[in-house]
Amino acid sequence: MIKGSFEYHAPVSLDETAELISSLEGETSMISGGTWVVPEMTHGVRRPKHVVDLRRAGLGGVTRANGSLVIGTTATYADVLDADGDAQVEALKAMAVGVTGGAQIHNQGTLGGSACYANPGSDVPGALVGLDATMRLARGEARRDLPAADFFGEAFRTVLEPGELLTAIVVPASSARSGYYKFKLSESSWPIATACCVVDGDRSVMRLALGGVSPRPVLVEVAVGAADPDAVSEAVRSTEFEQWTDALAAGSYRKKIAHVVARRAYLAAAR
Amino acid sequence: MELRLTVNGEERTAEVDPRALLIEAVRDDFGLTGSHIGCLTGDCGACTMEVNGRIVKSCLELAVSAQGADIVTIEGIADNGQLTPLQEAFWSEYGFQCGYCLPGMLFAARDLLAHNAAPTEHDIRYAINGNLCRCTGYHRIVQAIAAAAEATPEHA
Repeated sequence: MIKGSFEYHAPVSLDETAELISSLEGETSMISGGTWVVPEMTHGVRRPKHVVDLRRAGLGGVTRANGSLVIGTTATYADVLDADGDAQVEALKAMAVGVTGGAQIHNQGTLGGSACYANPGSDVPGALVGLDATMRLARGEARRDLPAADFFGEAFRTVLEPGELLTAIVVPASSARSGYYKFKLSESSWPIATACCVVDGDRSVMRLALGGVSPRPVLVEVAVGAADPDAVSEAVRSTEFEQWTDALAAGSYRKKIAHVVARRAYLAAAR
Repeated sequence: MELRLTVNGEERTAEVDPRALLIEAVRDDFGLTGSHIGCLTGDCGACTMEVNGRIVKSCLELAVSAQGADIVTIEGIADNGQLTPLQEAFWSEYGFQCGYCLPGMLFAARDLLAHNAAPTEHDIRYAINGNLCRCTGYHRIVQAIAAAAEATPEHA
């Protein structure tokens, strides 16, 4: 039984949800998949006054709109794995397969929830930045879109304003190939370093993002036409970023291995 | 709040606290104690059950979140007390010792075999990676699941 008390809300539409959370006073926790928020409440780390359960708000499912993949906030890893994918979605599927915790977590955990939790040592933020996803936000009646690269703030913080929520993640349509690589210490480990790479038909890097190595994902500038793993390594080595240290690994170690992780993501994309 | 669930095919209701986890409601309010509470962090998998056809860790869900759901607990997988081939295989291959992880392991294995009739050892180990066992070292569990796959020709 969760200690403390909270008011439980289960809105049944996006409009109702947006209206509700912009009107709540006091600490509010949102449940998408619940895989972080619920145990944090169970263990007293999080003691909200309000719990907003998004599961009935109609924010689930993975759909296509003009070729882009629209991932509802409460869509699970399993939903993404079940979705028809073009080439660009390969990295997202590779990421989902590697999410730790078994089929149960694939069935429960959501990409939207993970993005909003913004744990630097997690898969989703870096993958979304790598795929140049767009985050769809709502607050009251207002709606806005933000590039994923602008969505993540400090560690465990997004730029969501009070009363604002993520409604969907849009991965743009593309025929480009993508690859994802995660380095972790053991089967049940959180990621130590991740990379998501998109390449064009000539296997030139179009986009490369690192996760796990910094408080927020790092977009790596790669020279136009770079089409070999050494160029990828070099680009990562010459990129400056703030380091991220947690209980699993030191920032200096993550930085040291980042270029290897990136070249493996490149090789996955360019295979 | 009143919680309405279909539990192992039977429509049930119970008055539950919004702060109760699904595993707690199933054990305390519906009286089905076969599913276990381990870590309450989503790591161990002992509380695994099926909700609307998908296996979940029921410590990661508020009971009220499951309003209206169709739930299968470990008590519901054997017909009329007749062990399934998977349960038989765990029994004959010594796939458990203390039994704490067993309900979750059975659900993870059942989910695997429903999607993959002829799993490799890698498939089996991947399928149980969300379930911890502190007794067996997993070896016997993997053997049990492989034996169950072989013993179920309709899956082949």
